[in-house]
Amino acid sequence: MHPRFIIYFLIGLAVVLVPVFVQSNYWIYMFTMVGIFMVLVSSLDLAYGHTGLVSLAHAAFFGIGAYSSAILQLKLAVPILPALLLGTLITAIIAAAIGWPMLRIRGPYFVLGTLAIGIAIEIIIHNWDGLTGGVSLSGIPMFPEVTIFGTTFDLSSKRFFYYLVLAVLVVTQILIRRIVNSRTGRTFASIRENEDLAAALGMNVSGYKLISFVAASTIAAFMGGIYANYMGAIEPEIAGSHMSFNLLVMIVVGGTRSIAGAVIGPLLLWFVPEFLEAAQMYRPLFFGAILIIVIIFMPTGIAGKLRSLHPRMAKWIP
Amino acid sequence: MDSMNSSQSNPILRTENLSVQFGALMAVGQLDFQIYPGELFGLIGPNGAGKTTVFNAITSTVPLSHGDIYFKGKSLRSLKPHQVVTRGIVRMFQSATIFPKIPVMIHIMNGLSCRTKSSVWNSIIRPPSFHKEEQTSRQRARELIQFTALEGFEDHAAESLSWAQQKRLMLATALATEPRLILLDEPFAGMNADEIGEMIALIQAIRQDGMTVFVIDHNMKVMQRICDRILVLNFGQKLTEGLPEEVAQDSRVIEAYLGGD
Ligand SMILES: Nc1ncnc2c1ncn2[C@@H]1O[C@H](COP(=O)(O)OP(=O)(O)O)[C@@H](O)[C@H]1O
Ligand SMILES: [Mg+2]
Repeated sequence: MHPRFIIYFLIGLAVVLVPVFVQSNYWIYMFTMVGIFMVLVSSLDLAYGHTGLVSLAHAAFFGIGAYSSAILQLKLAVPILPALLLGTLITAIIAAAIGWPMLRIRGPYFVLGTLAIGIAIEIIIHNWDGLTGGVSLSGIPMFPEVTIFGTTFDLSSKRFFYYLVLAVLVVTQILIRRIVNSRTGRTFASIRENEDLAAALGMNVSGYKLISFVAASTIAAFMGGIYANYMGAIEPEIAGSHMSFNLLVMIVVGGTRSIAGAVIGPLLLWFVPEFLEAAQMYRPLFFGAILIIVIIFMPTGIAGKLRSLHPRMAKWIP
Repeated sequence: MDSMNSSQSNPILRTENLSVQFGALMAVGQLDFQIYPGELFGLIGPNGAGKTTVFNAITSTVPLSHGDIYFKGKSLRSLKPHQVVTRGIVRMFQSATIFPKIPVMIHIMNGLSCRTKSSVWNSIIRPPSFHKEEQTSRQRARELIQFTALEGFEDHAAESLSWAQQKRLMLATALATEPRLILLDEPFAGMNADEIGEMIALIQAIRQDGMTVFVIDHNMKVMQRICDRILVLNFGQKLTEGLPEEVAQDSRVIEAYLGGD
């Protein structure tokens, strides 16, 4: 077996064994959050890295997914699993309805448009308190205990959620790989590289932008639904433009179109400020400083930089 | 022998009073012309005459101010650029318009995308039809790589190729869309004599396959050699139209050229 795959296997094994060796629920929560960010960053990368759509509304769809699934459970007593799927579907429809007019706008105006949507969604959630609970929506049901073959599993446990998020992350990566390595993914890349040429070769540019945008939003929405049940309470800020901005920084810093990039970005920008107690307060400053350093010295992100060091590195870093 | 095609069949492309205006500038005015199936039709004229604008109008990249364009008898008005390609018209741009970071093989497969069907669901589920379509796409791309002499560059980024290679890559990508009519905007610009010769050979080869070719160029010598008929444009207006030798001897053409450059 190639040494590269042995290393991948060992990393994978370590990731799977984290809950076995880490006893503190706090740290398992921290790792789970990083996993959630990895899913969000990977899905954002489908729109941003692969299709060239700079969206500052990605967290809005995470938020809409979280709220619609939670509201279905709280107000209409829909069971968790159907609520999660229905909430994701609702978000996909909202993403299509927003994306359809928005994606006709090009360049910086599109970015500003998504920024406005991010802000608007946060305000709507905040003010529609009859439905959303205003500043906070709490009491979202925990996952139940289930008994299979006489063994009882507590699905509300932090350990279970760690594995659930890990599974979502793995499936997300497989989905994205498959989309990217296909006619659809090649069309995304064409739009990113030269929109006018793509149209001149018969590609339906606005149609494929919409597919990319909705696919990215749908993955975020599904993650949002799980997040709502994990936390038990959610706030409008999870849908806000500040959160979207952080996701964009994570992908730019980590490196686009790279699994490693989607891992490095969230690890660095979620964990390091936690370790440096002083940095807690200055988190925005820390984000800003890292962003500037990366943009100047590594325009392709940390993963891109590592890949460019040596042809062999390019092979090793997925 | 005067344009034997013209008397025998319906035009594949016909413009009627084609006019494109940019503010006060009439870039193309009341232009009428016909191109017949299998023809190699040339458009010449000084810089800024409106040649590229004619291509932009045909491909729906600029709106018509007046008039209409018919392809196989059907109007192209109100089509989006990508729909024009589906109808069977493709263009090669004047400047090197490529997907810079995309490898040659995939670059050409991008041209095939408008004729293949695989949806986003197919890419996720990957039924046998998905793999089959990928395989035939690759096979077709390989043929076009061979045709345009780009073997050995399959995995090279488009931007890493030489200028002449980039032009051939664009031709291969355009051909992948399976056009009936191909629009070539200055395909010989910036090439040396050998490279021009190679490009001419390629154009003649695609004509053998029954393709209709509409080519723009400055180079009167080359155009005289390859075109069946030539239209001369000056300040957006038709100056004259006819057989290459007639056009070359037209005193107004000589004047426009000497005055233009
Ligand atoms: N999109 C546009 N907007 C405004 N003016 C344009 C546009 N495209 C072309 N023009 C003008 O129309 C005229 C004809 O341009 P073009 O068709 O590119 O000429 P040619 O290809 O014959 O050199 C030029 O004066 C050019 O500046
Ligand atoms: Mg021109």
